[in-house]
Amino acid sequence: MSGHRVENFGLIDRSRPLHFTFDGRRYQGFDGDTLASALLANGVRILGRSFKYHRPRGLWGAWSDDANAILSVKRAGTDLPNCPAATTYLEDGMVARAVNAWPSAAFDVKGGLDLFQRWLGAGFYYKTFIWPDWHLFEPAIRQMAGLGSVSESVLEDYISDQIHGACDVLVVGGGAAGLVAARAAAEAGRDVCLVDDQRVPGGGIYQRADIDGQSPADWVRAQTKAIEAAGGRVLNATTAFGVYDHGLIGLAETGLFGNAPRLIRMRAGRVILAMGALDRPITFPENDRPGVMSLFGAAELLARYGVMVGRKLAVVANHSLADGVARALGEAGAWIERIDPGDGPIAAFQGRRVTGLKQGSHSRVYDAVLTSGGLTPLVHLWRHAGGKLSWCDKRQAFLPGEAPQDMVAIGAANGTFDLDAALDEAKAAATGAPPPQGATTYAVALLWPEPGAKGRQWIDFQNDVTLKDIEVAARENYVSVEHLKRYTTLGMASDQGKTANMAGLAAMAAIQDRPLPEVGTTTFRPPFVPVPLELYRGPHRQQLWHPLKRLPLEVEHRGLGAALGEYGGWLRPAWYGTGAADAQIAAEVRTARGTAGLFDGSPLGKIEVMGPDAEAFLDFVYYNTVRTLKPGQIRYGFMLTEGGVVFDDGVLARLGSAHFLVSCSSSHADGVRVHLEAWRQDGNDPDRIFIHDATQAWATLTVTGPHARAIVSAVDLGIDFAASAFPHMAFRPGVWRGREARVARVSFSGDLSFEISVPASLAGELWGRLLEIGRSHGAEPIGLEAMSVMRAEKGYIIIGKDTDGETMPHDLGFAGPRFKKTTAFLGDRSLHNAKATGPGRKELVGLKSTGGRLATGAHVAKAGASEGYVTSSYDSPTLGAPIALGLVADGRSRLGETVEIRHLDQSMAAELCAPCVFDPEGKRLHA
Amino acid sequence: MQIFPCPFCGHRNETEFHFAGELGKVRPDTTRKVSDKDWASYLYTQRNEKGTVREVWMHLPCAELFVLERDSVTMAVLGSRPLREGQQ
Amino acid sequence: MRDDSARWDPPGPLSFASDALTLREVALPRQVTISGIGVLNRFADTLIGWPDIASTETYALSLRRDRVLYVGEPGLSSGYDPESGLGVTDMADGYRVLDLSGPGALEALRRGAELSLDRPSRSVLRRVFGLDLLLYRVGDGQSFRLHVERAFAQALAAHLRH
Repeated sequence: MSGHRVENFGLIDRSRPLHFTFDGRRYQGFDGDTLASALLANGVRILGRSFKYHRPRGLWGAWSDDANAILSVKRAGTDLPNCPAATTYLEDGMVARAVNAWPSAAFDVKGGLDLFQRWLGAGFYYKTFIWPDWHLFEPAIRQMAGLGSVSESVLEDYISDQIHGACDVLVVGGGAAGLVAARAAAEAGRDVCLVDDQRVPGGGIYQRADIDGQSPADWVRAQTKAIEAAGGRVLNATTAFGVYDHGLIGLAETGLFGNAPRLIRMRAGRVILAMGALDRPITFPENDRPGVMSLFGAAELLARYGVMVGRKLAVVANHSLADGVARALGEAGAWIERIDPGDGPIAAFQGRRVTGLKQGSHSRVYDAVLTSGGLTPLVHLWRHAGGKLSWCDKRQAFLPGEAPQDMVAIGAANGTFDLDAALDEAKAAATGAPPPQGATTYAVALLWPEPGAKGRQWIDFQNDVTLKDIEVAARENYVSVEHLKRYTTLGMASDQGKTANMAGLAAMAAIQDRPLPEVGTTTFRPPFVPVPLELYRGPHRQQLWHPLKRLPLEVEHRGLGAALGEYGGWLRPAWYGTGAADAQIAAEVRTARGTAGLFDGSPLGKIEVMGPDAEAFLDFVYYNTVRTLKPGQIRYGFMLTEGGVVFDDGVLARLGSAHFLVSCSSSHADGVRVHLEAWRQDGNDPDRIFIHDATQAWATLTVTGPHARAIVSAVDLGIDFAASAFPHMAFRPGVWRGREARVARVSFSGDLSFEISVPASLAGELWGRLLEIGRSHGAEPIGLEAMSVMRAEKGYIIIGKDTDGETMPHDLGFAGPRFKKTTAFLGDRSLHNAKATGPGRKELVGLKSTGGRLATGAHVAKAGASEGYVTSSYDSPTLGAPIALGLVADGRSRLGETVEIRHLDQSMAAELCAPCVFDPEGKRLHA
Repeated sequence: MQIFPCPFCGHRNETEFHFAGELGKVRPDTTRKVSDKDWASYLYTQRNEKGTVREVWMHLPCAELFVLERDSVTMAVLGSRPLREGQQ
Repeated sequence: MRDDSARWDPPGPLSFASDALTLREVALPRQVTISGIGVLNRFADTLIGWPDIASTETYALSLRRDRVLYVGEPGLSSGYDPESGLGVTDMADGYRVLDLSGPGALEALRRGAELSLDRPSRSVLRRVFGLDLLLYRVGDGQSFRLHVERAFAQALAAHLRH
């Protein structure tokens, strides 16, 4: 091939030369070039190697239909694999390499793989799964197959911007039809957005000498100006890659090399598809040789980039549009020979620098063989939206059929290849008028792959699928198109079959002697062209991937050297200080048990339930009886699902006759709020119950330990903390800095504890005061881990850790309401079904190990089967021994029994005991 | 991404909504005897229809529980109304 | 059990300013959640939905068919009042309030939500960047006011600064 520039053609800026290298050699192109056009202009003929056989590959198409030329490109420290040469715009300083080829595309040491093609045919992988053994081949195949490799360096700034957009009318495709439709819609007062995937819109219009008496470039500019003047938007270099529900179109806007594309989630009232049509390859022996390429691709290279693909060209085509294209190439200086594939079978051959073609006894050498087997309308987005296809015999193509809602296809995408007819269609579509009916002048001769033909005839160029492979698949009964695709990898290349599928389907139709439309197409799925995964990720990365809730006192905790960790969606102090974690945690437990610990419990749920029906409502959503709770009292209880499973545990305080405070698990407040809201509105009178989640309005600081009363009494809260005045499970309102404070005497540690809630903005002052007073008593801040150890010593559970998806309250030792509560409550009936009342329920127990700390998650094993597992396990600094909690089948009636604990390959013994192993009489709690 | 109509807030993106169940589930009166079969049916039997479905959804930001009628094949939204009768 | 302190930026100021965008924290000392029958009518004079502009000192943000967030002093005490049928909760400390202004303000919000001034809503509640916000307009209508749950204020500011 002797590609070269032709004067006076193309949209490139010849005053701005750009330098780049390909496989180590230096070249020059111009601003406006793609890597592919610049390489062809330099006479480069082999741009890559095929995926499987490492066959040399030249360019097939001029834009997104090319799957042959895939390059790794490096520029200014950015290294991106798998850049399609035909759609990657050239920039100065690019260093490009062919992928899957070493040392270069032109000379690839693995090219010899092609010799083994007999053994690497259709279904190779599946067959070796069965015989002899895939693993024999896997390492070598993984080494040899594939495309580019990921760069070692991390692209820190490769971040996709994401934005939501909206418009009345979205026009996809900025060719002549799209431009006219967008202009007409905009001038009719609609909010229009036109997207085109190239930097310069116009589609294939530049292949023409003129339009409406203007040069194509002037005409396109006039259209875009008119669109913008009417308030429309024109987005260039923007690909509509997928259609989603309710008129959502995914748009990827590409910028300069190395920048992640921008995602626009465009909500369009109506979509006009004007994506055009693709050239179809012709299937003949050796049709994958470099130099055999798309006729329209060659015309586009000339029109947009001023690149003539060779001096001596063969044009092989079977339709009426080829004449004009061939003539234009001839007028631009090429020597053209028309070859009618209907005159007899053709076959390509290749010398070192040229491509040859044989037809019968006629044999000739060319720079390039330009083929066109007809046009395939781009119906991808139409199918994404659920539109039907209908086969057109006259055009030998699938055309848009029954339309999806709010979508219309126009121009070549609709099979309307005549320009005037396409523009009439565009104007009608813009205003929603019915499409004009006209006869097409397009005529195409039947020319599909002929099964049984000799020679290797390529169907899928990138994935090396030949006509023979399709025959093999048919013979082995992989005849459904979806099976054919997976078995042969037809259409699974990076172009997703844009060029290959029609020939493949036609081949299968011919082999089975069925009409082509009966064979059908594979499913069209987004994205229309490959997009980087980064497009979907966007800003949802690192700290913004799943942002944690932050405590009002985080700064104070950091100041105290807290180690922070995630607990139930909150970033919370795990322990304080810089020593070894285990030692710090043990010290905190000893401090809290010895004097007092200061604990930030702010994430505790604080959901207010109010109104005349609040009592009855809570009585219904709680397992425990609520109506007997008096103002100022607190009760521990469970919320169950309707399946009877424990959903949440926590305490409920009654602030007034019609005012309750639900203090649910810290990790669960959002879920409990939604749970309560759902039941409030479904089955209750929502005018008589109001639920306010005030969790984040309050900070809750807990003082726990033998000195807790002395410490809180020294803080001026206006509350009498004397044991007689403020008993365990009581609630008292107070005042802090002139605002309301709420104090609950409840305990998760088993020691005397006060939870003091104050408005979040006043928490810092209270924390400072508690530290000051507390330290004079020897108290210190304690983290979540110390609290977890202490609650386990008491046998207190953490929902979701010490319970699972089957745990019912009686499994935890709370059996009372199940039989005694007379009013209906959530989950009540489920507590009495066969499973709930039967034997073998996993019940909460303690586990006393004699051989050291048990592994959390270790199984309680019996005769090789599991009958439960360890849910919590710690070294207890208080007891100086390991402690554990677990769920064990019938565990509560087996206390004292020694069981086997299996963890991985290790076996240990443990004795089942009561969950509470510290102060079982509760003397410290009630102190 | 779908657009659902919250009866109070209007049209919002589907990410703001949470499916709550099929319309028409009535909780048996558990203060009386409820057979295993009836209870199991209440808990687990879903109509899961093809075509027009009536479902209860929650609009999470405003917590409104409402009835959404939609087509489970085409994903078309056919209408919505508050779960409580008589509300606008 | 792991110390993740370094993985999370310590809290800092939420405010920032660039050519296109200014985010400024606003102090609203009184924000009160009020629920009850007819509460929207009761505060109809100053009721704000989307894309209404709050131009007065005190106003009621429409949240639900039976709930407002009153900005200002409503003269109601916390808890349930059987007489008026209203449930009242002080929420001033539950939210941090930010004003977003500048020529890029609406576009910045559109990064996080499908949002249009042409699509009105009776409620100012909205999910933006996956966070539940109260969102409405203030001043000349080019500025937006956001109430964000206190614990997510930092995440919201980081999204907007992006």
